[in-house]
Parts: sequence; C-alpha cells; structure tokens
Amino acid sequence: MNIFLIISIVLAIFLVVGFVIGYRQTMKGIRKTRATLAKTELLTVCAGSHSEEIPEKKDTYSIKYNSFILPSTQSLDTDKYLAYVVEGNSMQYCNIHTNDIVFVPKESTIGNLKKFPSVIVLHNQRNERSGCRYKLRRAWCVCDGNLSDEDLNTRVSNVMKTGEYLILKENASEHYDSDEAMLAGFKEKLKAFREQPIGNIHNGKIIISSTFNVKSGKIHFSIHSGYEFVGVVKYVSECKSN
Amino acid sequence: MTKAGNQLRNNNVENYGWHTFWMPICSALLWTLVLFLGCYTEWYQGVVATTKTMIAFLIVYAAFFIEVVFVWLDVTDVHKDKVIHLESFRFFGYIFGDIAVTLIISVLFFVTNIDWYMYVVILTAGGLKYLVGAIGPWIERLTVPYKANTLSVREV
Repeated sequence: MNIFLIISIVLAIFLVVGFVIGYRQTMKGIRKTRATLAKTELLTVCAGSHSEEIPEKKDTYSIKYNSFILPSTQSLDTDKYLAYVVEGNSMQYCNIHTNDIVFVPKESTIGNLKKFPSVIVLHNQRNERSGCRYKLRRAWCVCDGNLSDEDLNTRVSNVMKTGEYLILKENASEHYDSDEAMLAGFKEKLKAFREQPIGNIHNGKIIISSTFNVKSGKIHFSIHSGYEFVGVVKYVSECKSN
Repeated sequence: MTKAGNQLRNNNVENYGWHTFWMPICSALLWTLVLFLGCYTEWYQGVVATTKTMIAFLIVYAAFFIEVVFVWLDVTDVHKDKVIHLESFRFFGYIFGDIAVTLIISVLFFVTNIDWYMYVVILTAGGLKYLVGAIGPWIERLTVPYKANTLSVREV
C-alpha cells in the first residue's frame, strides 16, 4: 500500500468525521434559529378587556415566517396589512377570539369604512401611558362630528332598527338589554365622550360601535372619534394555541 | 456569536454574504484547476499517482473543510434569513457534492488505469461541481422563502 493511498484514507476519515460534525452543528443551528423565527411579538388589540392590564405586545406566530393561506388557497400578502394579536373575547359574536391575528389593510382611511357593521381597529388615544393601545370594535355607523347629541341618539336608534342588528340581537338575546336601556347606556357614553378633549372636535367624524363586555355579559354601544380609526379588519387567522 | 460572525455582520453583509457565493465558486474553480493540473502532469509523466496529484488532493480537501467552516458560520451566527435557504441547495449541493466528487475522483485515480476519456469524466465532474457552486445560490434566490407553519385565514 503506497503512502498516497494511506494519506488519502486518513484524509477520507477526517472528511467523513468533519462532515458528520458539520452536519450536526448545522442542523442544530437550523433548529435553534427556526424556533426563534416561527414566533414573534405583535401589537395587541384589546377586545373588551381593560387595555391597561393588557401588554402592548404579545408572543404569537411570526407574520414573516409563517404562511397565511386564504380560502382560495392563495397566500395572503402580509406586507400589505397591519397585523395585531387579539386579546379578549368581546368580538366572539364576530367569530374573533383571543390570540387570533387580525389583518387590517395599511393606509386605511375612514372613507374605507362604508359597509356596516364592520369590525374595526381603533387607536386608543386615551391610553398612551401603558398597555395595549389598540381596540377592536364592531362599527355601526359613521357620523359627522358637528351632529348634536340628539342627532347622534337618533342615529343609534336607527341602528337598532337595522336588519343586521336585529339578527345579532336574536342570536344573542341574553346579552342585549332593551332598546331603551341600550340608548340610555349610549347617552352615558356620549356624555363621557364629550368631556374628553377629543370628543369636542367637531370638524371630524364620529364612529358609533358596539362591543361585548365580557365581565358584565352585556353588549353596549360606544363612541369614538374618527381620528382613532386605524382600519377595517379584512382577514382573521384563528390561532387558538400559541 | 463568534468573532468571524461579528466581523461579517459588521461589514454590513446583507442577506447573502460574499463568502456564500464566492467560497463555493472559488472552491469549485480550485477543484477544476487542480484536477486539470493533476491530469496534465500525469499525462506528461505517464504515471497515475504523483506527488503533485497528492498535493492537489490535499488542497481539495482543505478547500472542502474551509467550505464546511463557512457554511457552519452562516448557519449559526451570521444571517438568520440564510438558514432558510441552506437546507435546499447549499448544504446538500455543496457538501454532498464535494463528498461525491471526491469519492468518484479517488476511485478513478486509485482503481482504474486512467485513460484520456477518464480525464474528460474528471473534468466534467469538476465542471459540474462548479455549476452547482455558481448556480445554486442564484436558484436559491428564486425559491420560495422558508415558512415555519401554514395558518388559514378567513375574510371577516
């Protein structure tokens, strides 16, 4: 056996050992990195719970490193959407639950809010200190900011006569108060809204929405300035187990 | 993070570092050059195994180990995005390619009486190795990025 052959065999052994070590280290690195890639933190959107108690961000599936497939089997172009992770169950009657990821088209304006009722994301400008800064609501109508309180009450009364509202009320009657009680609740909300600096801006828009208070088990109307509007929720991904 | 990893990151190497392209290509070019020189020398001297060929093989093995080290650095330290692509072409293309070509050439050199057509085979192997090294990363760029899970989405 010549020296060349011996050296080659020794080198071949080194090669195989080197390959095995390299392969194992590589796969270990891939697994470690993938575990990091698959999860990320997203901004939370509060669905009913107290926003101060909800963290601003929450661990969930990474938007970049997971595929979001539409019913048409096409992949959702996530670059075109803002994504939030839902915290709370106030939108359970829209089939949106806690830990779900909602997608809102980027650069939405209140002009995009034309179909009612719609699930929308609002930027909670009254809570800039800590916790979750976005909330999820079911929008029922958009009104001019210069409408009187009486006109706004009339708009709410009209909402309660719409077919969509009546269907929802029928499906979850135990969570709805009488129309008079709902209106009274709205008037209280409107009064509180008017006391806020943002509630006195009359050249903008006002959004009337409803939400389900999980603690009281009741659905009630709420009122927000159009300046708080972020966008209409277009898609939702159910992510029950994070 | 290793020193080398830090250095590469500090050099603002974006998704694809220079080494991920040029190391395999240089390694492949080295293969081809070495094989050509080895074959030429043997043809000239009329013997199968010469000292020059042995040195050539040492260089080839060294190139392979350098490649492994760089690939390993890629995975562990430098760019997370690159991990996505490694499993497809680079890892199996380069490393398995290296091993396969090394073994083929070793067998050809040691076992057979090398004739002129064997040189063509060897050079073709070197050329294929070069093609894998050169084209692989570009094909990777065209492939779909890595996605960890598939989640369904419905319209609201």
